[in-house]
Amino acid sequence: MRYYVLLLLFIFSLLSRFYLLNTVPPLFDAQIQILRLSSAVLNILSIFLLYIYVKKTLNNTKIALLSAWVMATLPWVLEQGRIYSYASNSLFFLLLFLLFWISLNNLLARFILLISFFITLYFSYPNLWIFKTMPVLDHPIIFINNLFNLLSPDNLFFRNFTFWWGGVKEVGVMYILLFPFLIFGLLEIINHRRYKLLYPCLFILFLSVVSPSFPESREFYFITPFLALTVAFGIYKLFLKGIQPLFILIFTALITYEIIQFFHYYYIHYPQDIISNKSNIKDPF
Amino acid sequence: MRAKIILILILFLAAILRIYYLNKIPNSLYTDEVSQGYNAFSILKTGRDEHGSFLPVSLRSFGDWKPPLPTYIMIPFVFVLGLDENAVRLPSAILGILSLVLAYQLVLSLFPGRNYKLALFTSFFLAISPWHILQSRSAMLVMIAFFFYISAVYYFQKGLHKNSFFILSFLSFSLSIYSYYGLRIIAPFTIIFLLLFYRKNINFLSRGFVFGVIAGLVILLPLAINLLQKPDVVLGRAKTVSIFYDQGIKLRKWELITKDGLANPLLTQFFHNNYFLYTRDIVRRFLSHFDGKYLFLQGDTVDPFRIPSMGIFYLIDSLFLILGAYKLYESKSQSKYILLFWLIIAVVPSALTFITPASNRSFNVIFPLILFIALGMTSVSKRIILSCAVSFIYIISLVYFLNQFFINMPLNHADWWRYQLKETAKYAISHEKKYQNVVFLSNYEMTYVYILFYSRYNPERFQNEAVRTHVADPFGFEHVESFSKYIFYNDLNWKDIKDNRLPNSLYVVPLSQSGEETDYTKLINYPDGKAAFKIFL
Repeated sequence: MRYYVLLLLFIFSLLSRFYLLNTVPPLFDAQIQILRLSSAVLNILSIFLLYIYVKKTLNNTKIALLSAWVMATLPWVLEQGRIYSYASNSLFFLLLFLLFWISLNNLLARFILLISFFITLYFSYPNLWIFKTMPVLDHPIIFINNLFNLLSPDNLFFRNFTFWWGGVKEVGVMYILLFPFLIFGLLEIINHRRYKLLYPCLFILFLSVVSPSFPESREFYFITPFLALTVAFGIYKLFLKGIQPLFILIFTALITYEIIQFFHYYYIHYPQDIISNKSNIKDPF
Repeated sequence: MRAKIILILILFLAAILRIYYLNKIPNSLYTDEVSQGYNAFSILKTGRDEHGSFLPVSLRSFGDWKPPLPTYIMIPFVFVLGLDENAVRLPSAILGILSLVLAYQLVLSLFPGRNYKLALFTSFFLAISPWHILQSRSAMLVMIAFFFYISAVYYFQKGLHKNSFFILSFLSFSLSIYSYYGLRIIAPFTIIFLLLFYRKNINFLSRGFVFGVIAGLVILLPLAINLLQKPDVVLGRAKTVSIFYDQGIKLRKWELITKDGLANPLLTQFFHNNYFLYTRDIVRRFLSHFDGKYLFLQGDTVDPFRIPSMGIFYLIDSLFLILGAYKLYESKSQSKYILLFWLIIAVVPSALTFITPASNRSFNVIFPLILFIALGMTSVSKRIILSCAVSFIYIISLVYFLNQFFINMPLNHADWWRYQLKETAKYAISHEKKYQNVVFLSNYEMTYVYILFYSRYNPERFQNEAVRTHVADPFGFEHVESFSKYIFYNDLNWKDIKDNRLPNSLYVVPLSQSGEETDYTKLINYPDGKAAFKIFL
């Protein structure tokens, strides 16, 4: 059964990443074409890496499948998977690193892995601020302000501001309908003392909050697999509590509608926005 | 006994924070406070409001149809103290203090088993809450509504054990409906929820329950009659601030449809329809009330509900709020469902308006949020060193708030509370005898009501003299054009009329219109020395 689901996910990912890849968003530089292709491939692979990572960590195929599904449909992941994005490409290496990390028990091996990861990150994400500059933190309040901004409902569900001129501004990091599952998943993860799942989030949050390029903290993109995992955890635990089939049906219908809305916006309105913002876009993507 | 002594100490602290310099801080009555005060005065003297309506069920005021109860509650205070700032604000301050007692009792009834520590923490955090203090020190309706709402829920809980308390509960629900428009959504849904939630514990045929329902309905009868006579009035200003009144979503829909260029209208309708756009907007506005930046850093950005450079909660509250929410989630108590419902329903009316997040409209949510903080605090209070550190941070936070609220705000943000209108009105009143006319160019400000308030103008005379537009401006307000020797120009600019002035008249001109002109007679300044109005002859 799970292979059928994975196959469906693969087909969905292929279609959603490659359909009109060179025209949506509009391509301003032909050289980017091949880079977009590699981004899309790594993006799809990231989804399956997340599946393996969750399966290994939680030993639960259903949550792993749900995580992969959520990750594959997240608006931000779709957006980044179809452009040349350092953040999206590096996420693949981050997931690969995490996968090896949980497989290794030897301290030295883990240390070498960590060093290797940072070297890979240096090449896959050369713009990452930690390799170029120091964090900007004039006042502790700025740190808290940035944290609240990144975690605001507005950024998470309605208006992703981390890629202002080039991103899909009409939607947030994730769909609104996933909000209750995110909260429930978070509470359940804490309730089950699965804190370890969220440790990388703390590092990613710190990295994004002190980023000199805030509010355009693209590093925050690294959090998407963990958001997907949390949502999946929430969905799974809620369904375990014996949810009515009618509720599942309504939820499925509504989330499908929200995803279709996103695709409509993505293919019709997003290219229009990009063309009108062309003068503000510095680097082609 | 020990808990009661601590509660009395908390109430004492709350009273100091709410009553000290009540007439001076905030340093002017806001327009709505002045209006309520004068209408209370008018009803006291003539039995009619400023518009001449006899014992109104909704106060027309500026055309915003204010809920009546806060004004009626002011009447005895105006009678005893005279028409002044204290008389206007004392009801909110007193009910604000009493709401702490109700919160204490409510926590004990929601979490049975001598949970005194949690109840005391709840009262204490309400006592020092910047949000609660701000609303207690101003007559902006919601504190009165909060008092009756929390009282209604508390007596409902008590009614489960002794039926006669249902009478108090339903009376309080009805009174809350007369206190604030948001409660016209919150109260009925709360009643339905509580009835369903406790359906197995309520004896629906008991005398207390039946009398309670009847008493509640009788109290609501005048409102129901008013609803039949003037359906628009019952929702008052709620209508003009509603997202359905605002053009934002409609314009966005039009823009998206235009950009779509789809030939099939059904497909266009599928993607860009009111259901989706409005639902999305409502959810966005709802969630904005739980944004950390709004709650803990920035606060409300709309006058007069702002506190300089801080949120409506202390920053440190954020930690305990999260901890408390989790503690409640893992607890077995059934009361968590009541609190979850409260948390949601209290924000719904605000989410339906187009200026969000709104601390005023969502004020009822303060109780569950403070309870979360208190719950979070109970889980660390056993660790002495941690408790000391947390107490120290709270003391620093409180001192910071007191500085911002009692010193910084009156000095540097006096305009938030319309200090300039008070000072201008006082100046005009003291000089009116010398002039034939006093003309205000007021940019849609309701200066007339400050003149009425500070001159204690004879209400009967005003009811007969007032010349009104009776037509709402773009913000939904109606204006007074003149009364006695006072004239109010809202659509005229000083540059257009300064060469054709009325003889022997005093002109009050806002700085935005008078610019750099120096031939003024008097300058009305803010406390920080910045000019607000120029007076010309």
